[in-house]
Amino acid sequence: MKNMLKYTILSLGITACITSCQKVIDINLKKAEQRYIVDALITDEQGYNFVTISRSKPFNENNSFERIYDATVWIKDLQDNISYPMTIGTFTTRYTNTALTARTGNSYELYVVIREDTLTAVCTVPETKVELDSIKIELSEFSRFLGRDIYVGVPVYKDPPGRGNYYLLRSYLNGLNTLSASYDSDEFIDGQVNKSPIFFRNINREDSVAEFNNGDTLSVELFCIAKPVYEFYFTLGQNSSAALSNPANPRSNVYGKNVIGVFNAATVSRKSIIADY
Amino acid sequence: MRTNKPFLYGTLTVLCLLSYLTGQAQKKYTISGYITDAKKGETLIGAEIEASGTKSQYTTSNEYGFYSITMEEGAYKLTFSNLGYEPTAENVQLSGNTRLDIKLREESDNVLEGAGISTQADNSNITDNRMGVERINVKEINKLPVLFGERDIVKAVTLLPGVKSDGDGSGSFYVRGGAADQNLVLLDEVLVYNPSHLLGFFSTFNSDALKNVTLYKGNMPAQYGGRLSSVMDVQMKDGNNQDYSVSGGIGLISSRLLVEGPIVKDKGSFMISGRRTYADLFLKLSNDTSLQKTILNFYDLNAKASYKISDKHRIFFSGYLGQDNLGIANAFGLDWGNKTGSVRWNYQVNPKLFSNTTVAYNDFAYNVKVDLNVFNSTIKSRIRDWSLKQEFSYFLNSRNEIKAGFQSVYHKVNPGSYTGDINISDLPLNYSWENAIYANNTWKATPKLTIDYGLRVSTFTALGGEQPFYTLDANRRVIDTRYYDKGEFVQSYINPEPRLSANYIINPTLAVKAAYARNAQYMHLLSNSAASNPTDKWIPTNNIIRPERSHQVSLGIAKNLKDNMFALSLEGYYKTMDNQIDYVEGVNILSNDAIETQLLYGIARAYGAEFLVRKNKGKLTGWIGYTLARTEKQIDGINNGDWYAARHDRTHDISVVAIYDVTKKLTLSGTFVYYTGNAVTFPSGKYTIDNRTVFLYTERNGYRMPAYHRMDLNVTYQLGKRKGRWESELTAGMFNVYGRENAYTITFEDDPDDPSRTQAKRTALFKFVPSISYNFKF
Repeated sequence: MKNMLKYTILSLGITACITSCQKVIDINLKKAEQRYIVDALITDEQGYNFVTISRSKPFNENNSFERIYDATVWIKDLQDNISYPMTIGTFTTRYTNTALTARTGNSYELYVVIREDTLTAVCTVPETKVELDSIKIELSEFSRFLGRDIYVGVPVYKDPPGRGNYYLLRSYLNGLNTLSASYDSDEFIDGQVNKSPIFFRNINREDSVAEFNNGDTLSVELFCIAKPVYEFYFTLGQNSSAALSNPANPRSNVYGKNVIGVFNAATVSRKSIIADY
Repeated sequence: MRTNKPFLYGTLTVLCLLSYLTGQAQKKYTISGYITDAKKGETLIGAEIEASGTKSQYTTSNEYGFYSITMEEGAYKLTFSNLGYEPTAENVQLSGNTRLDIKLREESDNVLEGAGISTQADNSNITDNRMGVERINVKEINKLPVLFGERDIVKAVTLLPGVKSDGDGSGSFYVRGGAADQNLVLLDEVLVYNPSHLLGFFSTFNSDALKNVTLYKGNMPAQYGGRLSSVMDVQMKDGNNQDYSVSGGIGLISSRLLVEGPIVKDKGSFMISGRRTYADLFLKLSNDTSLQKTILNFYDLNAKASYKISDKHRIFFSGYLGQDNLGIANAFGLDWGNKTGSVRWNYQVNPKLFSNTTVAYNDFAYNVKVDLNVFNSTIKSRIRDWSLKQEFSYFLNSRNEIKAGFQSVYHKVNPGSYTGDINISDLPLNYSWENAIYANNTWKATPKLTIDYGLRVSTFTALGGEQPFYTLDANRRVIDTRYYDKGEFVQSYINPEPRLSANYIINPTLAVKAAYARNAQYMHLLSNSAASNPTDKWIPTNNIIRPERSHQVSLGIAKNLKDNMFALSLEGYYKTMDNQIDYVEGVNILSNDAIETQLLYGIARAYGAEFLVRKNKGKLTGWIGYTLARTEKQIDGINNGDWYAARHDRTHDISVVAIYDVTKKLTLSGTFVYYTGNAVTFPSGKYTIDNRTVFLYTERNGYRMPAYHRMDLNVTYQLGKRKGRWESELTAGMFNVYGRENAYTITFEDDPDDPSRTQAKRTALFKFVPSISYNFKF
């Protein structure tokens, strides 16, 4: 049995060294027909709106994507029956209209003409506007079992009672928005105050762009969004998850030939804080 | 595929009449009894009984070791044999009903023969009237190399043609194009909902405790039902009714112990077998604090007791308990487990009529726990079944053996109840009732032709109670919600399931076989994860979700060579399935909104050819299996409604298994598998939105994973018998001996070193995994 023990320990050692191994490989992927990619936002804040149109490309090419600047873009308020032309200004790369203010409960139509192709979308601004109350910085409970102090930035807002509220949160670190938006529904937090953090300090996440230091300015925009917009972001979030057996394109609410995109008519509120922990 | 139902039922009626007419009345008597292991008293399943004399006859013992053979008055020589046992013969002068219990001695008991070397081989593959059946020799499987040295019948079954594994780190298996949830896994006649441990790395079955494993690849007899693709019928050991014995093993990641013995010698026995893993001990060696605090373990316990009340009555109690725990410190946890229990009563009404009554309970539950100051919650989910099965085996005459019975199962599904900070109400409990009646006759039409035909009629009723029943519009939106009184029949389905299997023996070494089966399935597993996950949802049939149904036809040929040393078989099958279920694309599986709004339905078809060469005796035994197959689905709303390859579609699949007895004490074994890649969805483009690179998909499962191949080796050395009855052996193995990096997943992402590019990354799980274990018995 003495030998047994020796061998067992030896084998244990060998096995412990074997972890899963990852390697970058070459795969011959097909080249899909190009798609129009539409990202459109209008808000209840006057002039805070944009439409961008870009195109998809083959996987093996680089990450610089073609933008379309010569489209004709309109947004129409379907209740007030007013159309707003969206144009590219001298210093912007996005289609905007400084006069447009989206109103809660109103429906809006997005209308895009690119050469012979027409893309359309309709979205309704949610009736209820939820205001972002504050951002607080707190010590995360992850600290307990990661063995070091982890601070998080939590946007504070209260979900109104009753199901059917959907949120999109966009975060800015020292004025820069480099992270993807986060999204939430009130299915599991109906009527409660949000506790999920957005910013992390010292957690070595892969997207370390979210990490902040003392003195950094953290800002958050809270959008109240329509359900189809939430579904777009939810399915977008699943797009490259390796844990799923059937990855798929996000559920688009923009329609037309060869298009993937989202038209988000939302309310917005924002708060900032200087990190001090 | 459309079936001609009148034709089918007409055929069955004619068969019944023919069987009746051919069994003419003469002066006949019955010999019946039990066949057991001489040393342990364990009943032997599928042992062969051959009578030669006035007329030759052949039968096999049933799943309780009982046999019954009816013949004309006269002198007979009865030969009893079972693989791995010495055949024994008895001369009988038949002049009245005779009771004859037989004890067979294990081959290795004979010192002259080397331990474990098979010296005999039979032609049961030729005479077997069923096709697509694999009787798995648990002893043989225990010699095969396995990951971490954990013996695993599910992994062994996937080495057979027509059965596919899901690659490294998965406990799922797929039979003839069927999905993972279409296998009926029975442990002592109780259904096991989740037959895998640790997200599929290990099977729930501790092979120490097992006696017999039979796999039916779709052409199951009428007594089985409820799943489309296969039946894996697993029987636990009864326990030694002669003497106490203890056996066990110490392995790298787990240890096992089995105790068995008589309750009353010759009359009753018990068996208790336990296994506990300590995989998380490895993680304690890690430098990473969070890994150190990871919990990763499982245990299982099998227990069985049997008692022979009299020559006519026997009773069996079986239980299984398995539990898995995953977690990080005490903050997050996922635990799940199966509990099954059954009581069975065998009653030999008369020498020709054998009855078995089974009362069973099973319980599969999982809990997801989050315990943080800011957030604390537990989600519990559970499925429970209560079932009753009554079966009569009537050994009518020398040509007809009838099985008939009924089965009734009450399902209670608790999709989720919440405690803690999630302030939503519990999901409503779901009740349903599944019933079946069946009859099956094995008709020896001529000495060369055996036809096994039967009919199962199954029903399923969704019962009223807490759960809502929805009406959906064409866009899958809920337009009406109705509730019914508890116990009220809301929606019922009935499915006749005819089964037919025929075998024609051309000569003692050559037979042709044909079979047809229709199956229905009422419980469905929904999964959107790449690995088998205990939290995948089991959902019962209701007013919207319909029963899955399949037709399967198969044809085959079996040939033996060199005095049955080599057994060859070739089988082909074609199967169609309807009411197949899949999630809509981009489903939110965590949502509790009506699941019916997230589902799509369609059809599937599978066809293939399976080739098997087995070497059954000599120092070198083993097999080579090859499968050529195709499995496709067509679901409205997926892939534009076009046919697409199912995820487990795999064109070529080869497995080679070899066991070589070098000396009496030393056994080498090896397996090699090669298969072409499964169908998979990869991107065909990319774009950017919301500060991220997003991948563009154009078709479902339009790509293939790279081919998989791997070789494993194992060596078993008997350390010899020391004083007393102590026996021990040392087993050492290597999984993936040449270190092939088989793709577990291929993921797509931005290149972390160059964000202007994207890359494909392959993750491989295991290479060069050594194992060692020490097994003992006394």
